Amino acid sequence: MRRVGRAKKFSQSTIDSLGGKIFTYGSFTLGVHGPESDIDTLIVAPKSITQADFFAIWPPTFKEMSEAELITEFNPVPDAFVPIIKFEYNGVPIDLIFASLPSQSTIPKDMELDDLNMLRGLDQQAMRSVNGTRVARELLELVPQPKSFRHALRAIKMWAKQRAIYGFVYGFPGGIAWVIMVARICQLYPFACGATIIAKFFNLMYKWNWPRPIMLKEVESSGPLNLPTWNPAHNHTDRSHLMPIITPAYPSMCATHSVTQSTLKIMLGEFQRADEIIGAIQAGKKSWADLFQRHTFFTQDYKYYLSVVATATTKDAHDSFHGLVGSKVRSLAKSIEENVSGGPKARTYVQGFERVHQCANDEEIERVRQGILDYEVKEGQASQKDGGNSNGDVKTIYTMTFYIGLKLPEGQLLFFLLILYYAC
Amino acid sequence: MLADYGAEGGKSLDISFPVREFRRFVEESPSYHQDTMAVRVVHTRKYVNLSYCSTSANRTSYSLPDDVFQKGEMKPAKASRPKDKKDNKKKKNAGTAKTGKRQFADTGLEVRNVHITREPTHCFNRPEGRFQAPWLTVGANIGQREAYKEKSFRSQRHSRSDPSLNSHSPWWAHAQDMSYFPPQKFYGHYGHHELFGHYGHFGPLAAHFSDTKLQIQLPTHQHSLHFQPQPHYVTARSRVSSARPP
Repeated sequence: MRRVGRAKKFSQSTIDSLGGKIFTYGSFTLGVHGPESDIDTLIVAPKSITQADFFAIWPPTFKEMSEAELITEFNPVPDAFVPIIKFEYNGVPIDLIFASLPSQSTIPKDMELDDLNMLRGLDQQAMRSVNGTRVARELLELVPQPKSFRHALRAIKMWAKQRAIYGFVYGFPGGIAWVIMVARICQLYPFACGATIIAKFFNLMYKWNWPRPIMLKEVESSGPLNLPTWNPAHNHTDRSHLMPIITPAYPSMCATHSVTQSTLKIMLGEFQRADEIIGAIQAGKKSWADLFQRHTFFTQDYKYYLSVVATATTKDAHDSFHGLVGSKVRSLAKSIEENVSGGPKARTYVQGFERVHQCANDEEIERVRQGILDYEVKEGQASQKDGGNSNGDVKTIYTMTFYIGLKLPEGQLLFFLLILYYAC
Repeated sequence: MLADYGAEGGKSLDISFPVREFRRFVEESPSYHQDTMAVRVVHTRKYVNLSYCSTSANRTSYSLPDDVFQKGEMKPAKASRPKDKKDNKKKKNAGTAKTGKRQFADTGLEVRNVHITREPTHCFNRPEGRFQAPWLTVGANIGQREAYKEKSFRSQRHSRSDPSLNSHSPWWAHAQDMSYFPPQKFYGHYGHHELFGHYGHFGPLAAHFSDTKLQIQLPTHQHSLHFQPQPHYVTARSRVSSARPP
């Protein structure tokens, strides 16, 4: 803040009073982070410090103040939906976002984001950045027993990842949605221990009368800032949500608007399976390991797959492009289900597979684009120069492959698969 | 077009519209740069049967890669087809006087439920151009049973070969008569070879253009294959033991 102030030629007294504060949100704030979790961090600044200032000044300042060998990765993405700097410091991955509060000319050390007046004048993008912290703080206040909540949440998150039903962009609940679901069970059973909450979770989620929403408190529909909140009575888009899970902090929003009929059905199947296993565990017939058994997406569930291969010739292009393609894969699966006759079921796998290739000519690059893995190398072996010729004429190509499983109704066989490549 | 899916009990799947729309969404995005980025949608099979494979140059359809599986997970294998009347009929007609081919069972070969890896096979003692280097290899998990069969196969080959050839001759010298080319299981009719050079190879197929769209017929067990000896020799077991015959 001081450096920006000096660059903008503020007076010394103004520079001294500018201030700023760092908040955390996500799994770290909720106390359910694991060894591979990242730390989601928000920097709040006064109105005189803009986002452009942040992306211009903060990266060189941070690098100057840190030991170079501790920063193993550093990717500022100012054009993202939520502008972000992703970096790894001392082996810990950190996601850093920024918000400038238009109503605040200074940020005192004891400032909290609970006061709605702080949010006056924020645009949608900044509101999204700030809301993560506010939701996390409010959630912890609404849960009767944080300890059992954390135990149950860790288990449920692990189960959801093992069963491949974790990921907002792929049509499944994201991190915050799973948190709200578990928190609701904790509210319904305030004295239950973690294991009981897990058992009740699967039972209730399977029997839940969707699209009845899951809310931790009443939605504040008329707040002081007059922001749009989730309201199915007035908004037809909100009425179309199949599995509404509503964030507690104002302005309340649906955390699961990407869920489709298909993904809802998959989740209900998983809840049912888990409920049955829990029954067997309680009867002494099965163990907890059976509950956390890995999914069979690639081994059993599907016979046909579509690979969506996002290719980039530079690392920077790859970092931005695979996010773009990943966010659209869900719509491809949905479109196949809705627009293709015969009722095929298409399910997106909740993770992309990143690969690095080295190609000698355009023909090989084209083959990599078609999904051929003959030129794949380990990332460490790839030449350092993107698309360059550090090793003769070898070019480094980065791909991210997303998989969609295709299933036809029972008794029908897939004899023909037609893809109009359209110059693919 | 292939719109008879529902009426015919499910024989076709036309996903051209969703794929086209998907590509349009991506390519019209402001952050998309044509020079550095590309997106493709390709068909991937759960597993690849050995009989469906062609040369590396034509292979654009592939099985699921290894990195999607975790340690301890079994890669899916195609179950062997139960014998039916059609099979028996085929076997009866297989070794007719017209073709002069021996039946598959007579070759001593049996390659089933094997996986194809993407690494090219190292070819020993093969003159370039005479035998096309096979790109197929069998996964490393060939067990003792298969190793035993390999040994048995090699001993049979010697007994059948030209007596003028001895054990010091290169292995391909023993394969001068077509009986060494594995029949049926290994060969398909690649009548539309040039077509798949660009659009992807789906095995022994039928394919044709209808208006603007390419129709590809996936191979199934129900479809009989046209068998023609091809000048490449698929040595599914060549990595198990040394190239030189014992």
